[in-house]
Amino acid sequence: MSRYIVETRGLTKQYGTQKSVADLHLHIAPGRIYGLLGRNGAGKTTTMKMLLGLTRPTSGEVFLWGTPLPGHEKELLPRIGSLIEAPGFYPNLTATENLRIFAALRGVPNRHAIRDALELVGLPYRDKKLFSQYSMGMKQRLAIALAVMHDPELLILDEPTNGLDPIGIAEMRSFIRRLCEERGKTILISSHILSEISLLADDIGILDHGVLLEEESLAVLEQNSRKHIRFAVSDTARAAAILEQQFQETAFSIQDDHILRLYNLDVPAGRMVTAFVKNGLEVSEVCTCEESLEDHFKQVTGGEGIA
Amino acid sequence: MHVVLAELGKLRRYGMVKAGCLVTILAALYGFAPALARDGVQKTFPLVMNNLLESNCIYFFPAMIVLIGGCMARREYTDNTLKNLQTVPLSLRRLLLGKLAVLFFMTVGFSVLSFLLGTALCFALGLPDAALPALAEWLARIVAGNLLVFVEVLPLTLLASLFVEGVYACTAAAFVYGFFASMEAAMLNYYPAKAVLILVDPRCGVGYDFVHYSPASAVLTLLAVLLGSAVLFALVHPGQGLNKVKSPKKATRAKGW
Repeated sequence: MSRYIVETRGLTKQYGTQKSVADLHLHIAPGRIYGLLGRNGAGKTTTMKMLLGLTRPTSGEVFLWGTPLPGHEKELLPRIGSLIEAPGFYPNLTATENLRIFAALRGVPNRHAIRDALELVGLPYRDKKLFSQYSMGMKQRLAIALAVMHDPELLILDEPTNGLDPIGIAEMRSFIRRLCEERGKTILISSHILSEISLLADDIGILDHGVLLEEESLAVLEQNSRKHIRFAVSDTARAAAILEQQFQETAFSIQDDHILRLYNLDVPAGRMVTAFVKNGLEVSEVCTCEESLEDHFKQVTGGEGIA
Repeated sequence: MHVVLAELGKLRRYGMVKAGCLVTILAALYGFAPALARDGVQKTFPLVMNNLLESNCIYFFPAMIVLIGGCMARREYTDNTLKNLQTVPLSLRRLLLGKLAVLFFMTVGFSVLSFLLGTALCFALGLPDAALPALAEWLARIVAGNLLVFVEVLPLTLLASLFVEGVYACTAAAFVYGFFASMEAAMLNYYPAKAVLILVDPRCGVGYDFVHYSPASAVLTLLAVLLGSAVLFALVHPGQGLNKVKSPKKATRAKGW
């Protein structure tokens, strides 16, 4: 049994000479919200399409619940609910009629599934309004209703808040959070909006030009980005021992052999430097730093702006 | 079965169903028009229904069936619903089979409508020989004729469904294909569109002593078409890459940093 609901190994999609997704190793743990963050054309939608078997990878493998997707679509895809790109429904039908069609195809056993799904996203059940008359926000809600109607274990949502007004975005956020916390769903959500992902996701993958630059939990990213004193020393292991023994300080992290971050800003930094030097350590830099998540993502992706 | 039920559900308020009804009405009027001519010929119910049968099989139903079949497949691309169906998962072949089954039922429905319209017009004009056996016979002939047209154009319907960008080209081809059935020649024994008329039209070849149509050849021709369609369906993969049709009204989503 795999520890991941979704796992990709070396997933690559190439169109002509251009790699849309390159050597992607994605890991999504059960019961987590995974935010795939990347700018336009980064490869988010292509990745999601490959996870759903809508696009055939050029190379690499997709594993869902530890089972390779190719050849097992009939058993794996019914366990997934998805929203990829713009919502697609029959314009001549109402929301209920549209969902009824997909419920019939999916063989949804619950008679109230359609009503429940529509209520969940705040759309009326027996509404006479046709899909063609829906606003973008209503279409998006209906697409979410379709994704959750058959009570899937995994949700793959490509920019689900697109087209929603600010209140709708907040509602959608709390709705997705509830799905994860109360119903134990695993959710993969993509967005180009950092604030949206940082408010929602447990784990974050940063995708840029088809390459997964970083995959980390939000907690670790936030820990790394909070205000701290940065020491550049010749030996971080010895510096850490000095902090613990002489200053009873444990709120620090070792970045590498030479960089140590101290998160308690009330400590006497000058005395610490003196202690380091007295113990034979070279101190080349001491500064107070604060790196926001946005700064971090800018740095990781090469410095271009984000929403 | 689920696919057929779902396809039936998609027909509610569907424009192509309305278009089909309109074409059926036009076919009925076209078939009925000669009944109003003062040409010295005694107008009877069988004569008008024969006209109706011919107008259906030659001019209207071949193109209509291909158009509706192609558009039913095309809408999955234009309405952007194909991805939803594929993640059910539902294979494109099963989807097309479901659509063909529904198209078959629609052909029956339009045939019955055609018969009812023709009959109503005959009754309105008070034409003779509209007894119950004649009504039953012509209902059977019209439904059978149009179902054989369904078989006759099946390769074109399949092509229009498999390569949805070619729907209108296939529809035009179907019209020309049906139109040639209005001609008379011995070699047309093996022409599928003519084969339909040979089997259901009692006036087919009447007055043309130089041609002798064989119902056996007609049956063989239509069976060959059916077999060819099955081979086409089995061999040609409904390639997504070949179908680049997009909805002209597709909403643009604001994306990007």
